[in-house]
Amino acid sequence: MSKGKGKKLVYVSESLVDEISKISRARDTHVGKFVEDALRQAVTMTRDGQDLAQVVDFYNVMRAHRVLGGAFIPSSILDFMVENLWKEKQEQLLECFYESGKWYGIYLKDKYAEPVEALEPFLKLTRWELNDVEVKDWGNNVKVRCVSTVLTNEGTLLLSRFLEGLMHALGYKTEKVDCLKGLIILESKK
Amino acid sequence: MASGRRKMLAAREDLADAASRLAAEKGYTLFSFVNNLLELAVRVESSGGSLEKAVENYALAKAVSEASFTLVLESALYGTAEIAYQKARTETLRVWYEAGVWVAKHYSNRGVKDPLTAIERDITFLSWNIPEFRIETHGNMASVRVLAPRFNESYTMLFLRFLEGILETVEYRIIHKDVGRGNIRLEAVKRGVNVKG
Repeated sequence: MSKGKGKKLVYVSESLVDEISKISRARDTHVGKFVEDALRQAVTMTRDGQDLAQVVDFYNVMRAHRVLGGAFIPSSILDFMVENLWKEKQEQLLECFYESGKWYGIYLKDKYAEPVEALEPFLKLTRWELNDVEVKDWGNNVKVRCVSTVLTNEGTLLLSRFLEGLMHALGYKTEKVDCLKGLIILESKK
Repeated sequence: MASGRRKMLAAREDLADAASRLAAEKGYTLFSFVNNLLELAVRVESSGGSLEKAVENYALAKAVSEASFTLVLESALYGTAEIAYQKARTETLRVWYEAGVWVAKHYSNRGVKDPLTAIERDITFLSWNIPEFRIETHGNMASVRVLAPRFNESYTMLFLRFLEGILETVEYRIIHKDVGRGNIRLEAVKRGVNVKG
């Protein structure tokens, strides 16, 4: 690191500088400002014990939800409504979650070169009711495991259908689904 | 991470020093620390977003997850709310009201100075389906404005009860309501305060 008056010089890879220059030009600002803003955010986040990579992933996931018609409501309301309608409208609810899962699958396929890889952070970052999410990818076989201590029976089944829809849109077929209250193990094959 | 030839860029001295310390603490070189973060920034900015917005979103989302909000599909939400409202109106309205009470208590108990402002900020952040959502306070008065063309009538009534639960929990009394499909306007006054006219 070289030192100047009030500034220090830091090494950055040339390809990255080119990309930063392009963005800065498009925004009518300068490279120094871009670097300074990024450094300031990173230093603050890292000091607070946050992971900037996770922040960026989260941002992208939230943008996907916005595109795909996600909405947030208090979980007590959702649990009540689903429980109340389950007996009469179970099939429609499951179908609705399956269809929505398909849309998410289409979106992931469109946005990510490795959509299955993106699935785990996608679920971890916005399905706050899940205590654990694991996605194992063996090429033609994918296993998704979700664990939650707060999901109801109905909520578990709906999430499971959502995941099936998503995997189907990614070109996988369901091989096996194990679904217990708060636990989903979904095995899919290409 | 990007590699190959390197260039030098100027950075503010205090930020460069802080980055250098943090990199050392985490066992990275300054080069890899700075390049990793710039790569992330480029990823966000080149997709039309902003790093600053990403950081802000993350903090808001943490607050919202603690307030027990959950993600649902908008397409399922209105239909489900409609059926629940038609099938068990009183009970459904009660649940939405109680959810409002819960949210208001959660924010009040977090030691937030002005819970209504915090609730407005977080609901605005979450509610992509509500193009306009405002809670304003002036002295002892509060006003709420919701404009959401995609709401059906049932959902409007349920959301109204949710807002009433919030306002009444933070000690406001509703003195005026103007409600139509997707359109809610509420005026409220601090409990114990008389309003003339």
